[in-house]
Amino acid sequence: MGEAAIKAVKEIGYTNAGTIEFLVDENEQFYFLEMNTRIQVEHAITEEITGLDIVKMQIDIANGEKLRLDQNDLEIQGHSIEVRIYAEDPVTFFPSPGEITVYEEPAAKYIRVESSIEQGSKITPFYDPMISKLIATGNNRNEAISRLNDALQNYKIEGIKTNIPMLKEVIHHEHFISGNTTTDFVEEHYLPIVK
Amino acid sequence: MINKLLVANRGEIAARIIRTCKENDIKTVAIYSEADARSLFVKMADESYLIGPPRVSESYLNTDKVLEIAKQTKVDAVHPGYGFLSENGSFADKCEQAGITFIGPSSNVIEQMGDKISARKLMEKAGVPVIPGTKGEVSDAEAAIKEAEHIGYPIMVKASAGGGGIGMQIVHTAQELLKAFESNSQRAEQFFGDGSMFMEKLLVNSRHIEVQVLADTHGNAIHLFERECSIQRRNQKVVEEAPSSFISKETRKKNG
Repeated sequence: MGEAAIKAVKEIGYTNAGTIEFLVDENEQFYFLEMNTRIQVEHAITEEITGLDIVKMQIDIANGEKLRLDQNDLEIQGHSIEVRIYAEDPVTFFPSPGEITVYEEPAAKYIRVESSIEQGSKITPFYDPMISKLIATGNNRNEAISRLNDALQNYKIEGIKTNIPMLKEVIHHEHFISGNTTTDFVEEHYLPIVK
Repeated sequence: MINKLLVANRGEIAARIIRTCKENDIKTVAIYSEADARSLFVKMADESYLIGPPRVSESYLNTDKVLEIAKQTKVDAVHPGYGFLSENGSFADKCEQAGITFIGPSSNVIEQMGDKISARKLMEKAGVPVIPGTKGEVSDAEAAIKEAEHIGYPIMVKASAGGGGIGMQIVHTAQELLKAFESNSQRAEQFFGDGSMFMEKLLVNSRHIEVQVLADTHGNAIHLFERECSIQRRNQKVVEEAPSSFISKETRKKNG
């Protein structure tokens, strides 16, 4: 997939950061889905497993600088998982705007929280209900999941509803733990439990 | 050289971009709507300007106002983040014309990839596998039903200009297709001003795996491996991880 992505980038004369999305079937055959010509919400997990700052690289490229790394310099270090925290009902997925009366982020070396909120912040109904991203990294997937679990237990958001209860369910689900997560996971495995 | 940058976004991504700028001694300008006056990113930036009322069309999507503030504050570049103006080719173009660097690809590449039919064609040309489906645009529902027989149900009907789950629908029969084709085409026309439709075979039990790429202006490109984003609700991602625990080393590397 990596080489196919590079081929695509070169064909279209792409510059700066981008993401090529693929659908991958059971036989690991992959198919181009679409390209996002921007930074992605989930760029942070890539930063965690490569030690790079993608925003900095975007700025360097925009300055006309050459990439400082060669493909051979890159390798995957560990495993990183991101969950998106939405201000919404964890069962109906309806938005839940309001004032955040209590806000405490989990703090640990291998935990990263990206947000723009604090105690007293108001979540308005005007924009996407995603209010923060919680990222946990470990030496391997199991360690990342266990750190994510601890962090979710220690993430306190009160005054509004969030999908944190849903995320706790998901990361404890046997199919998630075994890595068996296809795009119909929520309909197949989560909704039947809570509805 | 980028010494001062305007962040044309809000919330966590605005805060994220400002953090990297601070670490690299780049001055930052934030723009915010009335609804976001007390958001953290507004306090974090070196300068912050109210752009308008909460409605996105009057604030974060108001290209003229964003550009006006960019010019007034004499920034060298605009970082669009994700969503809002990030995949708006004409905004990228207007920035460049004003002598302000748009942090992203060129406007014509944004437009080519934003149009899903054209993106599909370009990928085929590059030798990247695409999902079995129609060659190009499908002219009407009748033609869609004919082509569907060759592709085989279930099928994903998609608007070429669609995004965020708008303008796409799964169909299992010709009857469903007839309805879905018309309604999604109309919705896409309404939302994006372009009702062009195409179809792809629905891949069941598939996973959503994406590859992060970076390319400089000297012809060098690298990839930073993949992310798996299979857990979604309403076509919106909820959990993402890197690397994917599903694909093998060989698939990770593969050419197509």
